[in-house]
Amino acid sequence: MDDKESVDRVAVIDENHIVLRCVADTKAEFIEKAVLNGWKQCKTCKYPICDECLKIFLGDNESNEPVCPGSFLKFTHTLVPEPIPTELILIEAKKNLSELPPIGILLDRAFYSSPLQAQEDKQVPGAYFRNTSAFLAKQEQWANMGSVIVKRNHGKYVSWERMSNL
Amino acid sequence: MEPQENPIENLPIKEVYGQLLTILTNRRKNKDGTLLIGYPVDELSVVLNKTVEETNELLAELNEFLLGLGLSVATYNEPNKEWVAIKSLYAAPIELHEDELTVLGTVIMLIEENKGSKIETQKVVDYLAKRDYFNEYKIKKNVKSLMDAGYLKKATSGGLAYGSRTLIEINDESRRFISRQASELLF
Repeated sequence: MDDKESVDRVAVIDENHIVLRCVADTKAEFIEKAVLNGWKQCKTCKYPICDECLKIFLGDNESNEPVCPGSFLKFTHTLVPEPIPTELILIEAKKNLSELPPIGILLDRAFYSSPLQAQEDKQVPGAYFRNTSAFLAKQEQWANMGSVIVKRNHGKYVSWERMSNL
Repeated sequence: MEPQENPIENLPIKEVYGQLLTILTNRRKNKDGTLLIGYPVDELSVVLNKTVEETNELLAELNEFLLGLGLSVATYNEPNKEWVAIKSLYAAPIELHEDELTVLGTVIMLIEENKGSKIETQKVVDYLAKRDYFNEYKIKKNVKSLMDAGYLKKATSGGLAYGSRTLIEINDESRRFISRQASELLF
């Protein structure tokens, strides 16, 4: 799998917000923060793995040839961590976003941004996970859970996921 | 200060037609679950940055263009608003099955007898159940599927009214014809 294909592993909220998901514990984190926190990707399967899971899977002795947690998605292979190619992923993710169907100016005014018709029926372009265009996913700060990604459908709560504790 | 260019004025006519076609064929459901087809004329004039008269002129030009494709611009009246959509000039089979068509025909007959005003769902139930055509459950189920398909809708103050699809696909004359036929068939 090359880096171009590996962009499928990420969730694109908008061109500035790309979320990586750890292949082991499925924790989500924005790409910039993930890289800063020491996330890596497997050299073979290219799936990201968070710093905490990396420690667990590598164990104390790296010469044990640890099995990559991405093996359950692909074939069994050894975990060889490598840096996450942030720039390549950003370029590919932006390219994917630009391949979305165009919204013309009239359509934008008619359905997305004009102060017309029943406002509650309007949909907002961008800031959506691709493939789930009816749902708005955004980061929120909850008092008891901290930083979370919340998915809402026209403001109505659908699901949430906790970001890393950092 | 130089006057700002109006990006809509500078759009090529082909692009205006292309986007208008998408707006006028758009189907979406509002919060109540009512199917909306097309766009209200007065709001379209705001989208186009034109007066209502200029918008109607543009729609007439679009209509001329569409006639060659077997389509036409159709207007229909929702309460307080005139809506515009695109319809085919030709008839083709629709997705309704026989039971749904019977219920739709009955609703059209009862609404036409009521001079186009909304009717209570119970009136349809009484009419068909008393004549042993269907039981109450089946009638309400068919009314529900007609509402889902956009042929009927809940009136604002309760009761049943024509949905956008009935207004677009079945014109006034056809509705009166269906009404006459239904009253002859349903004893």
